[in-house]
Amino acid sequence: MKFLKYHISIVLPLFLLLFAVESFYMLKRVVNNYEQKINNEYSIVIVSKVPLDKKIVADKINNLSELKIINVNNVLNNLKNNISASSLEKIKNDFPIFYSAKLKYLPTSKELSSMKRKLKNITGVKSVTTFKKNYDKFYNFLTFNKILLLFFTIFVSVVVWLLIIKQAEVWIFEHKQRFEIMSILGAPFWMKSAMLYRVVIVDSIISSVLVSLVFLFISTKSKTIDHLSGIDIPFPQFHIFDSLILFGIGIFISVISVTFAILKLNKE
Amino acid sequence: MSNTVVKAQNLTLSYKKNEPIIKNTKFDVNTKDFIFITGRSGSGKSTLLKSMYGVLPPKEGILSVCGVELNNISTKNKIFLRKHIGVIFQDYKLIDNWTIEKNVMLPLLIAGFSKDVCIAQAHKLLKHVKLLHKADKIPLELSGGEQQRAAVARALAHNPVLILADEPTGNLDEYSSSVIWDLLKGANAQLGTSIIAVTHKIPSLLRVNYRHLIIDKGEIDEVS
Repeated sequence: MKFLKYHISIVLPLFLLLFAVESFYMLKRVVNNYEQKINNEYSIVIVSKVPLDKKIVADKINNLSELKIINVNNVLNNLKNNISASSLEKIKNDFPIFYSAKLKYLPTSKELSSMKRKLKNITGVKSVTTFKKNYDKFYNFLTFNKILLLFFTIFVSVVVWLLIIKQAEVWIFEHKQRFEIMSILGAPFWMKSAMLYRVVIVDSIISSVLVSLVFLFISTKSKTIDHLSGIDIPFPQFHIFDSLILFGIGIFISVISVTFAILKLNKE
Repeated sequence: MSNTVVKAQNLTLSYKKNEPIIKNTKFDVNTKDFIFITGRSGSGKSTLLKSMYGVLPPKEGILSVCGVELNNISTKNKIFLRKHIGVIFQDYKLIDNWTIEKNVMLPLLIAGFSKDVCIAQAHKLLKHVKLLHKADKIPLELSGGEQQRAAVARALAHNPVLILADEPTGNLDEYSSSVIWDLLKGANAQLGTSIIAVTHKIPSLLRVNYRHLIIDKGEIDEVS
């Protein structure tokens, strides 16, 4: 009970902070996965009268990953039975070349308009078709949520930081006599403060383990996976590396806060 | 190494903008000196002692303790100085939730000795002050006299060059007081530790050659 009482005042705010941070990272991964998914499905169709050089197209589109000719023989072969062989040959000769341009990442609407304009300026290009609008609404909604969560995480971080500083001040007040005696006996800064640092390191471990367990549960058992699979987005897996990052963030915030409180006391 | 442990020249001490408590004074403390500082309440006895362990820097003049000048003393030098002196307080200043053994070990832990060495030395000193049987008790489980004996053991733990004792028997009965003075006398005679003790009254039965400084109206005079 005493252990719980002593640690809860730091574990709780740290848990809140790490939960917000991990939520942000998870949503970021969801957005990235969605981006990846629509990018895999997405391509720009370029119609050109003359064969295009990939280098020239790449000059106009910075993130071009692949430029492929779309095979239109099947379409033309369907005409075989309806028109003469000579007419078909003429159509084949006059028929433009269709290109599919794959991109390395999904461009913004602004980038896409610029690309379209530049591609149209290439000699021989008759038309450029983009299909971005089909994906925009949901993607923008996800991005908006990501930004909101980022602001929330920053806000929570500031509040948590202040809470931990206050708690460290309370602890320092409780242990003021010990600090004073150790100072008189010539103890260095780290030795006087070792106990506080030990407590916040333990609390950071507890908080990061708790948050990791919650996200491990969510990412393996929860109905959330079903919700996301309904919209064809793979649910991001919680990695062990995330626990280390959470622990690092927890340690960083709590150690900075405790150091801040101790330095404030030393100054006074 | 110089024979002088404390050197004060034209020393003036004051709290911030207030009137000086100690004015333009001069005194020396040598190795093996046993010095009593007396004076009326508020005369500046404790202030002088505080300035010697770096709590109150001199306003004017020079004060050096164990070769460390206390004017504009750096944190590093302050730590160095405090590792070489022992301090005893009227209110004992033992850490409440630590055992007596750990309290006595503290200066040695600060000095960086291994735990085994610290325990051995703490036990030796606790035996010397007749508290070994209470090594695992916390201060509140001990009487005032016992707590002060533990504080003396702590002050002696790291073989300091100088012990500063601020009213070490102020809260104790006559018997406990005599035990404390005997311990300090022993440290002075056997280890050659210089002792500066602030007190209201010099113990009458203490058989030791001592020097007596009196503080009056901010000035320090030595009584021969």
